[in-house]
Amino acid sequence: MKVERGSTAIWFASSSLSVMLLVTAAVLLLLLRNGSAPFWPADIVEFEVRGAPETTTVLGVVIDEAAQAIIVDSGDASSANGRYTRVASASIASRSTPADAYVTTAVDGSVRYARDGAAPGGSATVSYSNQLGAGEKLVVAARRFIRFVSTEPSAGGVLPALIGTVILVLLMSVLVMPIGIAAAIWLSEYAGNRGRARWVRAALTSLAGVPTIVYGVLGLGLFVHTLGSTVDKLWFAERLPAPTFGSGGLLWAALTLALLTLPVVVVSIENGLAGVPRRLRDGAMALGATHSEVLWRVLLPAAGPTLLTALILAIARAAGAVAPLMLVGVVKLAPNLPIDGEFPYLHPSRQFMHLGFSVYDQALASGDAYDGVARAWSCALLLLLMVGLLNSSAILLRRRLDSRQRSLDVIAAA
Amino acid sequence: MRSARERLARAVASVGAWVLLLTVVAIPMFLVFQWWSAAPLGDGGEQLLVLVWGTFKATLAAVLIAVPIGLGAAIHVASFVGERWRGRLRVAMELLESLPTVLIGLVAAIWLAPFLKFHLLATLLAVAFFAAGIALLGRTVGLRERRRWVLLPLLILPIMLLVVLVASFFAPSAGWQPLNPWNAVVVGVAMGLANVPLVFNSAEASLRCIAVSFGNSAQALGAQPLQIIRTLLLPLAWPAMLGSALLAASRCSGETMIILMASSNTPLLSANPFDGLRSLAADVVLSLPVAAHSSEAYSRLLLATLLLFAISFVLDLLARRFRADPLHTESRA
Repeated sequence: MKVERGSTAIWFASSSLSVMLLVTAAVLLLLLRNGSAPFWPADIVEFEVRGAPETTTVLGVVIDEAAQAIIVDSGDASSANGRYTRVASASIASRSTPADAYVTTAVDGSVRYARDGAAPGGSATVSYSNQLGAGEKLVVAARRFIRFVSTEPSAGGVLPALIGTVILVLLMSVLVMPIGIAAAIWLSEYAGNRGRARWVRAALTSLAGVPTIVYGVLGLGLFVHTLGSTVDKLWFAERLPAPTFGSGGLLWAALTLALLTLPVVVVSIENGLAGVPRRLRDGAMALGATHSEVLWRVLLPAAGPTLLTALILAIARAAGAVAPLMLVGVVKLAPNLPIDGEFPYLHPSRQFMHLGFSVYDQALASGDAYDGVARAWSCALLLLLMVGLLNSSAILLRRRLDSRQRSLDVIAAA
Repeated sequence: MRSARERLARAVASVGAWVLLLTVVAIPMFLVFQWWSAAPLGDGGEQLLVLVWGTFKATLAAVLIAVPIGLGAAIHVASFVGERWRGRLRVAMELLESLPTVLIGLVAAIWLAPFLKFHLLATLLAVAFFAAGIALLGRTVGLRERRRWVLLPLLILPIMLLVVLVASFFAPSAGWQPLNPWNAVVVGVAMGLANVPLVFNSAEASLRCIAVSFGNSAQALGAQPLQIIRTLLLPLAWPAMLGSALLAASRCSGETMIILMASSNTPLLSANPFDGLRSLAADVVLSLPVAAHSSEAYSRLLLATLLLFAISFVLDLLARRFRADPLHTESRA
């Protein structure tokens, strides 16, 4: 083949695309694999370890395998020297997966590994992991996943964090959508392109570039310390000095996130309104509708799906924002859910738990590093599923919208 | 009656606009006001310098990773890839961009940092092998037709996997190891890769614009792909490319979770890329919840936030300046 001088540059440009695709795939695979690994029933392994005085046996699940040593999780309270045993590779006499080994999971989520014949009855669930086929393992994994998302942290689950995330995001949507719609309508319908409109547009683009942590500081200083303590003095004076709204809580976090997502919402709604064919609007005007009637009856219904896209994008962005929450009320372990059966059902002043914060907290600040990291991966998987679902529905919706837009154009042109 | 309703609709709509304006004005005003009324800084100035250095180091490392990869991918897609696959690639990039940064931080802190600690030499070797291989292929294999260039990444993927395999086969099990696995290199790689979609998306749009309007005519006049890139794309699109680099710098300087999780948060004033660092944003998150109101630390943290706001604001402003440019260039040309 003829050599074209300097095509090395093109090869490098092309390989950066390959790097990118590889990285995307690798990160997703890593999150999926490590996130689902804790649910998958692992083989229960028995090691015979040569010790100085005598040979001992270690029964449990291998959680870390390096060249020099293997870390075995033998479950809670089974041995005197803690839950994890470090077995040096050089001292292993034999390694087997006995068929009669079983794992019992207590109500509080703690596990024990044993193989002494009769399994204990009672409320604990027993599973002979080594005898399970692939299908049965899948069932066990599914059961563990359901347990993980539906129980309290005291039983090994993340239900409060899940509820906290969802409630926070819903409250944020309620706050951000009306303001976002109003601002977008003002920009596309009333503002034109002069004077104040320019300033608002500049504000919009500047806000999109502000680091999320700055919103957090604003939330702490303005909402919690200033607004919150004022509310306390006015309406909750009898509880002072214990703060009600004067400390971080659900409402302030939702307001902070609402400010954070406002640019996304306004930009995507404004684009949607701009996409409504001019002729529809002109036609309505020609039939005698007023400006506000055109807005309510023609523009907003035609741009309806765009509102949904904007909402979904805002939620996806809010669900991933963790840093600002760490300043305005997210906690490691909340005593109460922000929503319950007691009047007024939603408690906006309460502190709450959050999936994204659990990822950070469990990975780096957990008492039990092995267990904490495994839980962090699982929380990450849950968050990934949530955000992925939201984003892909936004993308699908946008595609549908594009084709709908074309048909609207056709109707308007006819 | 009718006009009252019109006025009401207009008033309601402008409330939304006012909220936007107020927020932008309120953030710096509020920070400055609070800082003014807070305690004097004391010796917090020196600590602040270390934090600014940490932010700069992390941002530089990330930009050095994100910009070449993002721009390379953008040049390839803008020059060779057709409309249909371009849409699909953009979706893949959006997928990566929409990942919450706490997930990237988790992968960086728990997986990447220990990996790089034990396999640093092997990784560097793999990168060097790969670069040498690509350089060699680029010198010897010339593809004449435009449609073959499209498939180049698919050709490179197996080469890359091969290099990774070979490197992991020859991997020295022990070698030089960084003392601190959570260092600027890990932060740079993680934050850089996370910001590639940003660079890609912003640069690709302008590159595409130029490639479509001038590239086809240049091709019709007999220009080779490389000639088009060198004489048309790069000279016309450099402001856009600089703009996307600045945009990435702006985003990275304000990024919190990745640095917080992967940098070990040690306030060090060192230029060694294998030392830990502490950034402005990470310091705010870690110290603000425990800082007493109107203490020296509180005042330092407010100033740190103000600095963070100013840095990312200015970088963002510059980025938009440059990115707005290619359209003017085009209309002038």
